[in-house]
Amino acid sequence: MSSIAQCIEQLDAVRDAALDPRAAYVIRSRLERLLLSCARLTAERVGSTKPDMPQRVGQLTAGSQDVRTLAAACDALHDLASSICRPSESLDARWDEGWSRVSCALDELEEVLLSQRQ
Amino acid sequence: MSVWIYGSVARGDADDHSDVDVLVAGDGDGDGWQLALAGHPMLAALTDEGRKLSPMRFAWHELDAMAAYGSLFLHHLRLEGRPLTQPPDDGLRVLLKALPPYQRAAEEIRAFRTVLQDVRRSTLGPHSPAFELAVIATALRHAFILGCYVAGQPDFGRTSPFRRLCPALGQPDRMAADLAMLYEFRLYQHERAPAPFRAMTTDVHKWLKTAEALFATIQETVDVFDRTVHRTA
Repeated sequence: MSSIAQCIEQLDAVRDAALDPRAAYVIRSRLERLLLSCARLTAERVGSTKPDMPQRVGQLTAGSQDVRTLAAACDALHDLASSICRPSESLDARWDEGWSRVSCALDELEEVLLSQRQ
Repeated sequence: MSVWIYGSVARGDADDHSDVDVLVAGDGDGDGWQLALAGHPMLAALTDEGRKLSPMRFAWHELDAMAAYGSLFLHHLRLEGRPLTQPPDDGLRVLLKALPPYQRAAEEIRAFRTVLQDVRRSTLGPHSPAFELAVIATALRHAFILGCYVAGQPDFGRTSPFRRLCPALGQPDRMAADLAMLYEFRLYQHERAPAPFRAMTTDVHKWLKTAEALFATIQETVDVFDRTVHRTA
């Protein structure tokens, strides 16, 4: 499985989990795993060391425009995820308001990934 | 606006890895609450010691919704939280006083088990063993917190729930220490500690097996508690 295919599969897994906002732990860990895979994909593309934990990619000084677009989409999701996923129990009240923003960020990331799939 | 601290600083057992957990309750848009925190003298003193501030803000309607199902997070706050502001009508204190028992224990333990299935699936492809160990560790810690709560011995410490519950689960003494070490991967994820060892996929498989067995045992107690709570409700 290519790195992009893996990211897309993990992105779908987040959406599946989000059908039940009470499964907060599942959503959170799937989001983190997706962010990790995307950060590793970005590192692979720019030739840097792959991170072993999810992290903001940040401003890239190397790499193509495609990689920078991917990094920006990942970081947007990262920032949203860190606020919506606390506390880590059932999320309903916060989720109602936050999911639409996370969902948009996921759509955006998916679009970027699909456009870069060879 | 009501400001409370909770977690290790509030308990008085903070260590070098601890940050300052802060809850802000209040309505209103914008970032005014962050400015209010930045100017709070007690928080300034706590962060002067080099600790990171870890704030969460909740609107009142969110807190009401959480209180309705007896949020475990709110139980945590009730047990060890300390208000830093004292408005004459502190709605949070009133809300915590009337908090019902946690009503989502059974579904939560099921969610932990789904997380383990995700980890197992993840190891079939390219993966980071350190991250997967952090995921297992986090689920284990929360399962132990839940286990302590349903056993009537609430404990929201970083690793103390392992020590409290392991004997009741019939686990050997060393298990609590092993679990505490595993949890360092979660601290490592948040850049609060170094990785405790070089993680390998074999470690992930070993811990998956251990976690599955522990969850099964905790679930027995959780199911009994859950039936009682829902019968009463």
